[in-house]
Amino acid sequence: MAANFWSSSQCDLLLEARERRAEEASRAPKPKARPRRRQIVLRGVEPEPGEPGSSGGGPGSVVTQLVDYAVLLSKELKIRQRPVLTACAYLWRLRPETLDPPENAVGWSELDDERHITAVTMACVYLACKVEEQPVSADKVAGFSQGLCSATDLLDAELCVLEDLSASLVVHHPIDDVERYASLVHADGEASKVAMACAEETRRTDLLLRYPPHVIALGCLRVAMALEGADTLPWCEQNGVCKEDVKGVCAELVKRCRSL
Amino acid sequence: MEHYEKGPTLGEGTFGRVFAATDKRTGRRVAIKKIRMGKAKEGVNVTAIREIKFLRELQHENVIELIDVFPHKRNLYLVYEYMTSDLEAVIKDKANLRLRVGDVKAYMRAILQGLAACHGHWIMHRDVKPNNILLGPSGQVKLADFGAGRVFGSPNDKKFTTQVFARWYRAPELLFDSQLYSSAVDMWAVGCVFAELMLRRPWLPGNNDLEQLSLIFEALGTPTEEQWPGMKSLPTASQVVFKPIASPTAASLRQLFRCGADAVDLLQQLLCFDPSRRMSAEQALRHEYFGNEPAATPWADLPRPAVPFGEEGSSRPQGGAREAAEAGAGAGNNGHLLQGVRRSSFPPEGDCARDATGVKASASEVRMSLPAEMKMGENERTPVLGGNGHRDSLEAGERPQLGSADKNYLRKRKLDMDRAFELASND
Ligand SMILES: Nc1ncnc2c1ncn2[C@@H]1O[C@H](COP(=O)(O)OP(=O)(O)OP(=O)(O)O)[C@@H](O)[C@H]1O
Ligand SMILES: [Mg+2]
Repeated sequence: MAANFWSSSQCDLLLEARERRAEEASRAPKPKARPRRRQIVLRGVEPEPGEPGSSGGGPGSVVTQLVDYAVLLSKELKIRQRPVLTACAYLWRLRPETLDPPENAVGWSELDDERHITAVTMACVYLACKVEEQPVSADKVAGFSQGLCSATDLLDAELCVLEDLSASLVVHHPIDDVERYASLVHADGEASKVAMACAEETRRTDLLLRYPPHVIALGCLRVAMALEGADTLPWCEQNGVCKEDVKGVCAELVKRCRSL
Repeated sequence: MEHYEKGPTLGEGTFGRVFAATDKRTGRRVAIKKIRMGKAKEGVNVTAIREIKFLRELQHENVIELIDVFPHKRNLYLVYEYMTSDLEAVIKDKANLRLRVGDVKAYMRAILQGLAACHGHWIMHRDVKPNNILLGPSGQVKLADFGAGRVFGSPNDKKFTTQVFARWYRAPELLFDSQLYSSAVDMWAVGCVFAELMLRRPWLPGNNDLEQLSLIFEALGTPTEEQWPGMKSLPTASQVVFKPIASPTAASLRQLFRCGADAVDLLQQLLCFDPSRRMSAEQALRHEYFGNEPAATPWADLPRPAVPFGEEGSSRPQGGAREAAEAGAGAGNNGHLLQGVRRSSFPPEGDCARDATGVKASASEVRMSLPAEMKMGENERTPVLGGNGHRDSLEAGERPQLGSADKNYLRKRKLDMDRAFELASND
């Protein structure tokens, strides 16, 4: 399936997002995003420390936290790599409104908030497992929340996630492209392992919303090869891949690795 | 739901009812499928998920368009473009519709183009049959029903289930239980549809998997080692010995189908035993058949059944019921996975009993010799699904003993069951 990224719904999403960003950039400086009123607490997941200087994280850091939660959940249920990656991509694609339900709903408490966001996160994992043809049972997934969410909550959230993703369920992952390009840029076993690890780490970033998967893969390979003293940038350029994009991916990856 | 004006029911599928509707925003006519969620413990059915995920990626004039997906009151609704009929209705309406060579060519080209698009996206359809090929209000021909679809061609492909396709359209490698197959299975089914378009009746209507194989071999000859090199190593191929039958000559096929040499050549290449040499959709579209006269009929001029969906009244009972009635007891011409399993694994009890006592099986004209164990294997092959009573009605004493090798084989079969079936059987 990876061969068809250019005709995929993911490609459309990417182009739309680019247009939106360009439009936003051309407009007057936009008002600061509304800060979340508090850190959400999810079982076993540390909240992201946030950018130095700012109080708490932006919307992105909430998703990072949810990704970590999804990964923990998947470890416990022994879910394979691919559904986990797909679930993380879903989490990044969700609209902020889905993650952040209206505050002033009557009788809405902080517990409801937590329950809602947990159910949505679990639903992403649950749905991704079905999409990747490795289904897990709803009871098992809901069980991970230790009574916070019931299976019914999970199934309701599944519908909500399906709608929010506007039913675009197929995700192309950089990890496939790392395999494909590794030999082309002469990455040996060790380097391609590092590149794979980088590609897996990108699930904690919004890179997939900003770049096509193969560009992310080339960024990962470049970082890995840089550790061996080689620069793959000229190769990317020769093959018609935008140098700036690859550099952008690398910058993000390096920032990630620093914060680890 | 508030955007749509609900109209009459068009049909009943395995996972929900399909009704006509009008989009109030655009005035466009659509068909909406309501996915039953009711008692489902596992949320949105995997079949629906597959349909959504594939149709979202496939935008092609010969693939049905999925316009929208939305939840409403804890049910999921899929909005499709509105279609008026299907190819099965055309094939069956012998009284009113004449199919010219150009018409058949147009249908074939549309089906092949749709499949080429799927295969280009590494998607196998796995349920190609006339009633999954829908016809639009102005004659468009589109593939529908991707609920059995599956991505293929990835290096880490694991085993696929072989319980796909309605039996009559099932490729021989599937009947021999090969679990690593590819888009070639769709091409076999296209060949069967091609034959059916020319004959105006299903060409190879087997009542169970073994009979299906023998029908295929009778019609196309028993494949030799040269024609299908890998055959002997397929899971169940070594357990059955088929009588050698010579391949039919092109002339005899021309006579049967009353068609040209080009059509016979295309048919033979689509129904090639060796999946690796079977023609692909792309290749088929380049076949001389499509270049030769008469040209394919433009779709606007294709024949249309007099009775559109939803207006068949009592003459067309809903979905599977109609097929089952026509196919006779135990004959599954139903694409739905689970029903396919049930039917293929539980042939009429009478057959089993007679097999066991050594009296000629119902498929008496079936020219093949095979050990009794294999026949049992055929019946036992799937685990009991729910409390289906068919097996219990067999007296224990009538059952032949299974050899231990066969028992292992059966046990393995049970373990290999596609997870999807477990899910499907929950419903
Ligand atoms: N796009 C459509 N436009 C008009 N009618 C449709 C459309 N899709 C389906 N239908 C009608 O609804 C019926 C059910 O469709 P559906 O694909 O859900 O089930 P099915 O093909 O009968 O089931 P299955 O193949 O799973 O056994 C069809 O037989 C047809 O009559
Ligand atoms: Mg159908």
